[in-house]
Amino acid sequence: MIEGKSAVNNSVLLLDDDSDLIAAMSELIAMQSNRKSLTANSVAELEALGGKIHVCNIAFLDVNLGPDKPSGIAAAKWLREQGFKGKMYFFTGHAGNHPLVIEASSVSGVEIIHKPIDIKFLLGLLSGDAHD
Amino acid sequence: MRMTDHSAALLEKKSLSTVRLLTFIIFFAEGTAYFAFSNVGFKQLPRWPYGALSLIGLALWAFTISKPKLSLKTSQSITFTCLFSALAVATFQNLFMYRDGQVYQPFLGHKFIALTIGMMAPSLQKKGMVLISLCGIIPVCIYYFVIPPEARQLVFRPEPWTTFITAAIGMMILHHRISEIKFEIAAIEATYAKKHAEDKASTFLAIRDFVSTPLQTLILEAAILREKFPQARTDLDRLDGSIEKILELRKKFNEEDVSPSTHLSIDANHIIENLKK
Repeated sequence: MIEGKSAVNNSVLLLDDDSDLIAAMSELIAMQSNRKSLTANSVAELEALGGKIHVCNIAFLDVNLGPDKPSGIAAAKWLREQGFKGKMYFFTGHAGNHPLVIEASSVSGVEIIHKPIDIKFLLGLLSGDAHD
Repeated sequence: MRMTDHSAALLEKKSLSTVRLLTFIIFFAEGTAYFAFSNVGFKQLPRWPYGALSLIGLALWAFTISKPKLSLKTSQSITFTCLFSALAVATFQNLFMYRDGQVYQPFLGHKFIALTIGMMAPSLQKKGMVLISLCGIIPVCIYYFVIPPEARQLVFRPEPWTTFITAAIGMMILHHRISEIKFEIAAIEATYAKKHAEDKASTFLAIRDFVSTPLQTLILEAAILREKFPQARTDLDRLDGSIEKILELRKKFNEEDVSPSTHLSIDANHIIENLKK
């Protein structure tokens, strides 16, 4: 599903199995930074987006996309294979000792962010500000 | 001692195993005595008590074998009945052994019973102590008050004190075994208490992880509503305040580090699914 029709390469890619979170996040991002969002609930939906992903320069990938389903780690791998040049973040609600989070931490160049984050922090990430 | 179902089940199992073995020993030992004593010169010794107790032992053995499970109380009652009957038979037979005029070794049954209780039946506890005491006291009484002084010459020395000391040893073994059982139960209880605490901690952690996404949505929605409806500022301040309290609580939860083990993986989805069942 694509939210908006931005041709500029500053859209945000959101991958999360929680539709409410995706809807709220994309709406807030549109409000606060006037950026469009490209959203997917699963790796399959992400792959279906194909070349559209290149309009995004930042991606928030939920690590755990449901039991027995490809994780955000598989999504990051696919994005790399597609030549995605944007900044990627793993977005997770799980603790650091969750097996998927441990696996995600070994993926180089992708930072892990733990939910919930506050709005300022999120906007900071979008604007590319340094953060803790 | 307060016991959980796990400890009670273990004690029940142990007691059933003990009573099975003990009833078989009673059947075998008394049966052997039935055939053996008359062949070694004890003509005035009645054989029927050995025979009767052997048959009782056989019947009880068959009963316990036929039951895959037996309550602790029943197992203990059968154990006590067997040992008490064996003590009664041993005491009764010692009133006849000197009558054939040959030198003999008395109180074998009393020694055997005292040691058996100590080693095999710690669950009898106070009843076991009473039985062992009787095993030590009865031979002294028989020797000094029942057997005629001239017949004491037939008793293989040094009795009755050998039997008395054997009973004392049986008592020490029983005491040791009771302590051992208590220690074993305490270890089992501690293991289950630890597991229970770990399960609880895992559940708390799973809930914490599971609410992360809805909480994130609430934070985002509050910000959206603040933008859309500036007039609702007071309400949204309250909402934000409540969200902040939850976040503070989570922060404390993280600082406390309730994780049962740093190496333990918490699968929040799996745990929450199990809670739903």
